[in-house]
Amino acid sequence: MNLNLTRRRFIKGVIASGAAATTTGVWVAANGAARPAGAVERMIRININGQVRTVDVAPQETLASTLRYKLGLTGTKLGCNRGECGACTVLVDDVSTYACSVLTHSVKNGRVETVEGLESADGTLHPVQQAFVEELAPQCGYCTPGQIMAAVGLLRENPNPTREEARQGLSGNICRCGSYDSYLDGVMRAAQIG
Amino acid sequence: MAYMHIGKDFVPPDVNGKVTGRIKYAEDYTREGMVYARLLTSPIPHARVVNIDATEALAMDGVFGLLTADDVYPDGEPQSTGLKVLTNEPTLVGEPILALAAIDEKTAETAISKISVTFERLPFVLDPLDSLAEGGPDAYNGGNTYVFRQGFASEKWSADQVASFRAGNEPTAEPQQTFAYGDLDAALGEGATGAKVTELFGARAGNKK
Repeated sequence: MNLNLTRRRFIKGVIASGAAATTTGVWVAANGAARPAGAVERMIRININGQVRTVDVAPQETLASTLRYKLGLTGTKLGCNRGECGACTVLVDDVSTYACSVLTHSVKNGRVETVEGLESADGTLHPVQQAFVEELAPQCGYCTPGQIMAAVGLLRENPNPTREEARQGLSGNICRCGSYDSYLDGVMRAAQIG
Repeated sequence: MAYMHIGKDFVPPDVNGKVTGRIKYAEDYTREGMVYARLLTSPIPHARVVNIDATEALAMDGVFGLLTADDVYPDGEPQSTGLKVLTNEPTLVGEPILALAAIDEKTAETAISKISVTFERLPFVLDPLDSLAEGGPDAYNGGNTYVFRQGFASEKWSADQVASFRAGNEPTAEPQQTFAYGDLDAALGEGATGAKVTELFGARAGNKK
């Protein structure tokens, strides 16, 4: 049996029907050893904010591109697109991660959380969001989603940080308005109310 | 008078949208048929563009075209400093030289990387005082100082003035503008506009004290 041909037909089928790859057995076969070197499957299933999404991802595509341009999750911002500013910070398996600097394919087995996933279904804000509102932490707000995700990641690991630990936790996130102290106030308040 | 916000505790209406990621910034919008631009910016602090070779970039699939300084406001940008959004004589690292439009961002970035710009290097300073010193290089063709609504002028300090400033003293100079007292309402009645009103408005603000 020509595995390559089978695989190609499989991909064509998925693309043509727009269907998700649902049969685990077929999926494993498609990702199996017969794959040509250097090639990756484009249709992937990835857990974003608790929902498994099926999306067509190019091999060199960053997580930020997938979130913003393929899934419409524009809450994740691109500031520098080179791992300097932190505006694109998301959580991958609870670890704050620059979405501009990881390939979507490299995190497709992880749990990705973005700012859009923090609110409860009934519209209740996450404690970090609520604290940031109460402290009026954002100014222009462009870096805010990244600051929030870094804060959420920090508080999961360390629910009661000192202000210095909070500073360290948010040190990967630049704010050109200079709202750093307000963000730290927000993190400390979130630790109280969370 | 009762104020709506002054003296009261309130949450500005945009804060919730900022913490939820729901509000959209300019680059969060997409429209069918939208094209994407990328800038080629100066890699050196002061230079003159001698030649731009974009043949290879313009031949790429998905590249629509480019703009250079020659294309935008050929006679200088009106009502401002006369500086353009794109320049053939960058005065700082990162100043935009040209803009290229393509079908997506990746194509635009790849096309930009295929453009070859030939620069003639020009002298630059890292400390503005070095430009103010006698014989120091000027950033712009017309000088190193922009005088509001008048254009560029070359401003140079004597060695003593530079040394005095470096020692922590404030520079002294002739005032650029002066105000005189007068009767604003009477002048408006006579049809005064522009500089005359500005002058008299200053006078009235002064009278109120």
